[in-house]
Amino acid sequence: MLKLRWMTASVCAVLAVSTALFAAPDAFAQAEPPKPAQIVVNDSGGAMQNAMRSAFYNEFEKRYGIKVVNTSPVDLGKLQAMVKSNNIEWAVTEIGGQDAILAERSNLFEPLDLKIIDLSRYPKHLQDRKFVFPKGVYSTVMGYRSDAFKEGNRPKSWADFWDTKKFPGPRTMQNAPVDNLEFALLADGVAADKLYPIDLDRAFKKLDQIKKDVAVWWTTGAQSAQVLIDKEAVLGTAWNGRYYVLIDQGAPITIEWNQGAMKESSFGIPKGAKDAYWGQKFLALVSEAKAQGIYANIIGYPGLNLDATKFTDAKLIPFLPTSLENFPKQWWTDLAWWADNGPAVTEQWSRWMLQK
Amino acid sequence: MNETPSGSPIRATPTGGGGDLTIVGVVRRFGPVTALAGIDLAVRKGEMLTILGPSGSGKTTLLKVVAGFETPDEGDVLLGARTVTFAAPAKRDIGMVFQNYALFPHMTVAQNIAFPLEMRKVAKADAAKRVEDVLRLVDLAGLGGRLPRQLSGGQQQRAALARAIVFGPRLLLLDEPFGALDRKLREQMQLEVRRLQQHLGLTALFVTHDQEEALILSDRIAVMDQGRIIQLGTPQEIYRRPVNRFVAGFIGESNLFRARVAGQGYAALDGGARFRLPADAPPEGTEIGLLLRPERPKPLANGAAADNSFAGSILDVVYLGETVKYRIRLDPGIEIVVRWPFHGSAGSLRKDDRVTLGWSGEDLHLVEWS
Amino acid sequence: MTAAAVTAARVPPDTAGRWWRGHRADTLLALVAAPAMVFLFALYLLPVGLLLQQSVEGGSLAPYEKALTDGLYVGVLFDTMLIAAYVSVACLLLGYPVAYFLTAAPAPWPTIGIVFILLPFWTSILVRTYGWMILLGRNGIINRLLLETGLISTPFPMLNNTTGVLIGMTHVLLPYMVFPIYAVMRRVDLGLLSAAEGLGAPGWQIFRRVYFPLTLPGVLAGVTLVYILSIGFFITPALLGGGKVIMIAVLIEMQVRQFLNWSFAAALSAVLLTATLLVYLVLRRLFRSDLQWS
Repeated sequence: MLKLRWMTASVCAVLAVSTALFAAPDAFAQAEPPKPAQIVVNDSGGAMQNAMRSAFYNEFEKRYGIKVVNTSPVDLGKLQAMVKSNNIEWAVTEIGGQDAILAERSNLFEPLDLKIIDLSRYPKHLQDRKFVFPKGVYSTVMGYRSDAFKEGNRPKSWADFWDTKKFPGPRTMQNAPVDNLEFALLADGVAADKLYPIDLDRAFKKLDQIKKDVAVWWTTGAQSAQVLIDKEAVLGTAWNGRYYVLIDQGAPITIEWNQGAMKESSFGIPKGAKDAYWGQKFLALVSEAKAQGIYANIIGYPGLNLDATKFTDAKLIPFLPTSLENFPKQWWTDLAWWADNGPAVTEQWSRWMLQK
Repeated sequence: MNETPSGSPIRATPTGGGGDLTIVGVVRRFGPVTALAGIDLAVRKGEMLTILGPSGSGKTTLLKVVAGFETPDEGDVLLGARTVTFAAPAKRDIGMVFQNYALFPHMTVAQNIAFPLEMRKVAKADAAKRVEDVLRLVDLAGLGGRLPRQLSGGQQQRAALARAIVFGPRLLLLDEPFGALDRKLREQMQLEVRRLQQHLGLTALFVTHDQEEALILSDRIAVMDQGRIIQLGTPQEIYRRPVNRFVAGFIGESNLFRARVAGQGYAALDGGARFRLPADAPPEGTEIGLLLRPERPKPLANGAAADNSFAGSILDVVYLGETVKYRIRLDPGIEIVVRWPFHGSAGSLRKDDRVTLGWSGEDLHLVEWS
Repeated sequence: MTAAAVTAARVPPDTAGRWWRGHRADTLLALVAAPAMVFLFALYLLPVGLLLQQSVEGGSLAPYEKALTDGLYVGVLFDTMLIAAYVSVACLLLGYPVAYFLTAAPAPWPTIGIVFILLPFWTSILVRTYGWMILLGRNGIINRLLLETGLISTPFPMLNNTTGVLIGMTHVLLPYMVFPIYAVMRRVDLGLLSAAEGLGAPGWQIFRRVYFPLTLPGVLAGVTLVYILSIGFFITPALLGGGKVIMIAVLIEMQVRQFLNWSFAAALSAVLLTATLLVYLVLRRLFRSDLQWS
């Protein structure tokens, strides 16, 4: 299915590229705004920032002679504060899953200038993005200590994750309802395409069963994988790149892609950003296949440019959520549902967390 | 050396001697510095004895040894017949008034005064009564509920005194307690403390560097210098017959001349002048100090004679109320200070006036020059 | 006795008389303090005012109603204040002797001690927190030591629970307890201790009746500081508590950052601020008579 989509996409891409070529004189006709000494790109920090530094920031600085300064963390509240007070520090900010939808709804983003940003080599359904730039894909997946479960008897599904008799040992899950409610439903036998709207009662009831076995409800991405290294837990969930970085360093961790929860990671240009033009230029660079390949090689998060795989290490392929083998095993999180229901469900989550 | 028995240092005997506080051969060293170089002293029951000395003379160390805040390297401290050399301060039964009063700022005056009683587990009712009594005694009745900072300096002083005596201590130690008060209040408090000490028959050891204060308050004074007691005696003895130049210079105002005994009852001064000596002068050639208290020389009427008489001119005049102080340059080139009552012949003298001074040989007191 | 009259008469001129002298000092003081006041106003009072305004945006008290009646928020607020109280007590028990050590130890120990206490300030809070995770974990250094020496047979749970939160927060906040106490201890007149000893007080009575009451202003300052800072913590509790300990700041942060529900976040903050002020006032009130002198 993915293959088919990518093929149609490439056909579209050819068309789009030719359109872009015809449109080009128009773009040149516009005078380029003066170059600032620097632009600020807000990102998730840590390992993500290092990877983006190597893949995007350095290249941008080389190409335009504009320094890229980084701030972190990603913060929807701060974005709103900046836009509301019209005091915008960022040219571009990273923005995660449902937050991107909330930000778009709250009118916090500049429209993407698709004359500058070339999405022609992107999957077709992403080519007409208005505000949220599709940076890449990540997946919340199951991971476990390879030494905790013998080959041939390893957890393969969320039902297995819930089966503490067959797979004993402390668990770790994110301290948030997103993903966990879906995992609970999957464990309870709900089909991946029947998850939404989420049956909250059923999901929380299922979560009750595992609660006492969750030793750590993780808060940060780094923590999610570290918990396995420290043996605080033997089985857990994390964003795939977090596992990849440690596996790459030789950590005894195995990823189970089955029933992983895929999401889009995004960039946006804050509404009214004074360096908006250069923000568009930056996103144009991020959309390039080569840059995305470099980025994925470092951190294991693939971009969405269909040509990016040409620049991706073969050894990395098994660790990408978009690989031909992994992609079909997973499902997409319904970010719109979460944007609608996030506050109420999160409140319920906190209540559930406080129950003894 | 001109000495009388009463003016000589008294060597205390460890046993008996009637000392309520007895200090025997106390030595205290701090590294290379010897703060106390062998102190012997006996304070009699009901006596106010003052340790007088300049800063660094060792008087504060001696007080600390008596109070128990310092332990001597050698020697002993006895309260009555009990040796307390190594006893903790809390076990000595000594009431102490500190330089800055050391009232507990977080307690009321009454709580401050009750503190030593409380530490001695005196019953509450009894303690309250004793606090009331002592407050009345030091004239602070009705102020027991105040905090120390709500009192004036003098009132704080009284409160500190009350706290030191309320538990009927064996000995009262006063460490420069008047230093923070202004002159007028200081004099008043001195008399009051003296009255109280005598009234209660307290044995008291008082430490000060103020010689005037020492003269006013004391039954006896021990003058300290460089870790030793130089002289022990009544205020009169110390004033009239200081044993050496140091004591002479330290106590009261004085004219002190370096001289050599020249024979025929005379002494030759450095500048060439000659003074008639008292009858019991040391042998010829001895280097001595001649002490002449400022009230001793008198103006001589024309033709009047004296053992020593010199003409001179007045350099300056200082009015001190009851008395007037003159600095006079005598014709042989010697400067002396004299002090006379304001009324009388001296009242009319002005700067640059000529005057003739006369004093007898017995007015001179001979001290060691060393 | 006339002395009393004289001394009494000496007092009024200093306080009541020469009013202009005091007045001029006040004016001068105000001038000196002005920049700090402007700073405080611009960076603290003004934002707090705006926050309060935001909480009643649209003229509705609904956010307050929810903040004050919803079991989740009331419960978490209570838990937060309880944890803050535990942390304050732990910091006091550890910090008081440390402050005393800094005051009393001979050189160069106080300097070394201060450097050690300040050391955590030079590391990011995340690094410190991960440090504690390494120490306290099931396979952490402490548990491994205890297991190897045979003192325990199963790992002692010190991480991912309230114990971990308390240990981590106490570590981070200890300097805020030590320094106010240290500052007050340094000013304590040691002569007062000698006086107490001379008046017959044994060692522990000197501490109980004199030294401790004299350092009480520092203790109260430290406790207040630690308590208030504790209430606002969220990263350390989230990481060391394994997500099981929820602090009110986490809920507020969530409303601000994730859900953009600022009026409710503001109402929660206002409730938290009020609760904190109330605790502070109660503390002051409790110790009022003990602090009158200072």
